[in-house]
Amino acid sequence: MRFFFAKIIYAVTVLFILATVTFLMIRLAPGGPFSQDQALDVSVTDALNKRYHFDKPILTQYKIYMQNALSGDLGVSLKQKNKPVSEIIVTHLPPSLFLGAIAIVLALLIGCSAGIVSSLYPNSGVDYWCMGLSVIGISLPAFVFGPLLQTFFARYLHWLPVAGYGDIWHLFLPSLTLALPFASRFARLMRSGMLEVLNQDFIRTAKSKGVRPFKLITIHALRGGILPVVSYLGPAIASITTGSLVVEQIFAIPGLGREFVQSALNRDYFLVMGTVIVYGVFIVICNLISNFMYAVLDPRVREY
Amino acid sequence: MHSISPTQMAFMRLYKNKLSLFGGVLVLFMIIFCVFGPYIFADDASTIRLFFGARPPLFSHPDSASQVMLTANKKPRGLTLDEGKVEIKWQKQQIQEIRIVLRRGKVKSIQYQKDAKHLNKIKLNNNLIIVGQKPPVGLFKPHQRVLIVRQKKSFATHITHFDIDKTGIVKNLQTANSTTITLKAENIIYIKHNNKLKTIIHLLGTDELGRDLLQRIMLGGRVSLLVGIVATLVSLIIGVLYGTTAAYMGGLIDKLMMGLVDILYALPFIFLVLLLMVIFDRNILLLFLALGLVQWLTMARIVRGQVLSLINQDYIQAAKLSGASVFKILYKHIVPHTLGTVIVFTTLMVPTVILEESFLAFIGLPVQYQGTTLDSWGSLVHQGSLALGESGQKYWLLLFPSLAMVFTLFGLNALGDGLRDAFDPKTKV
Repeated sequence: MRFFFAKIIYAVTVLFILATVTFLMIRLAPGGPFSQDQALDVSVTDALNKRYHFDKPILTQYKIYMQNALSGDLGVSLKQKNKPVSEIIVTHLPPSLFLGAIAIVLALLIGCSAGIVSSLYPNSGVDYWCMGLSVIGISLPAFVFGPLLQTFFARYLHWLPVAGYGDIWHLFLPSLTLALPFASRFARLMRSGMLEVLNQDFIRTAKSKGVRPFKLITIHALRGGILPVVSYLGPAIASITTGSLVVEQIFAIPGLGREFVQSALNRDYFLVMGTVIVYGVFIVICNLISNFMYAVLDPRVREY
Repeated sequence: MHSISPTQMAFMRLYKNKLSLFGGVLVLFMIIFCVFGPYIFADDASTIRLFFGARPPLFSHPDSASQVMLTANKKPRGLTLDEGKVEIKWQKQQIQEIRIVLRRGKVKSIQYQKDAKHLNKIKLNNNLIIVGQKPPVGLFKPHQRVLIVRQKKSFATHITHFDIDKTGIVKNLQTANSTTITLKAENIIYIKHNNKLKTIIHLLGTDELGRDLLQRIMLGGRVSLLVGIVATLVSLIIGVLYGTTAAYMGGLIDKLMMGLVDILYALPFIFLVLLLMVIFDRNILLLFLALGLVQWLTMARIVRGQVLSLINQDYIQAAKLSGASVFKILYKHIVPHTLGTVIVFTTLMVPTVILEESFLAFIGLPVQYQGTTLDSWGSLVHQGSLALGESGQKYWLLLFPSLAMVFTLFGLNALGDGLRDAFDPKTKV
């Protein structure tokens, strides 16, 4: 129980630090959201600054923002006609979530199966190909692989839509693009984890007791062998969110990543804060789940 | 019989790993290609030839700037030539826009846009269009009434001879009436210097502004590699300092320091780097620091683990007893022993950093130095994907920068993997 509480306290601290750092960074930077609009009169910008509390000392601003955020009010967008940030997030989060979820499932399916197969036949042709392909997978950036898939499957074969967001087929190429590097990493982790477990005594015992190979792999070996994958799952999900920034651009998906990049470029303070906090919460929750899964699979961790 | 040291064994293991050897060769090649290439292929990447625009690989043209000015007894402008006889063949060309109007399925009129001069017929892609007759099928889209075509109109060719003397001055310029000849590069058919053709070949084609793509890839590679290496060094220094300190101090300080690393590890750092790049200017020095700050956490963890395994060894105790100071023990006896592992992970960190920089460049935040934008591979790929065209006609703009990048990343990853397997068979991350 202590383990779980410690992890949750960690997670909350992470979120708090993230919010604070982001807040300080965008507020202490030169230039403001209204400094680019040259047409605005000084009195107008003064009024705007007053309305959004930008005239107060930074610590007071921080206090006001945090109090509002904790009560669920993330402010309004400064560039999108006073739209509430929460509304923007609610409309743009689902595409990103779907994309990320499909990508992580694809990555796990491809990666784990490739890893298991190559661990069962180490140093064979299959192993060599899987591992060689995984190096390529890690080295192929999303913005190279994405256009490649787009050109081949959408422009040349016309099997799938080029870009946009609508049904499941729109998400197929983007999620494949997003999944590739993670599938490669999962494959290597799975392979090394399985190799370690397969050489241990209890596997030999189980084998000599006459456990069928399929059961041996799925029940006995997989529980230990998947540990490295599980521990990488948290960071992987964090990287998938950043990867989706690029993929959403390539495939024109109206997700949160595009909103984040746009709001950062526009200095849309509240929207930047809102998107960073949402991403932070998401990543922290995924890390927590990954930690807990690890603890369930490997009881030794819980003692710490 | 001689004994084999662990390092020798490691190199033997590495030698057996063909994939990583191949990766090493690839990395070496790419570094040489980017560092020395620009000197070998002489065309300057900053030379803009707007009139050519994006041309496919192996495109060649006479070696001149976009405008050539020849004046008797002066140095030629827009040409770099040594002493000798020069012959330039040129031909004036004009691009004309011609308007073809359709009425009731038949061609109503054909006329020049500029002077509204009417024509009775015109040849277009081997099709003859005649006023009053139906146009060839497929030329007009359904419901299209007006078609504007661009045609080149060429005038008679001229040949200009002149000599360049030892001081590089134009002599014996033969012209019809004036002492100065001004030529546009698109009008020049060939330039012969001592009866040798002077041409530039663009092996990988040119970009939208007519700049040589090969040169741009090599220069972009310098930026990418520089960012990768320097940012990795930054993370290396911070990580080694932090990791050794935490491990050597031990106890509460170690716990606090590594707790901080754990917390920072969960932060989506690339978001903060992106914000940093947007808010402050995108100076390359800032980028080194920012990307280094993202990566140092892993390094700190690895170094700490290594130091902890070393710290209780007898030779460290002996050094302590002999009165060596903490700093001396750390940086004479401990850090050198961690270097093997550190170097292995550095090899794997460089591609990650290159990828992160190119990610920023692709988003639209290329690095700058003193106000000028430095194009890295990431921004070349970005520009290529923007200029690709509807069905990928300008494929080379995307293909070659991507290939350069993928080769380098593949090489670094394969080499790093092999090094890790060879030097450190136990860790498998």
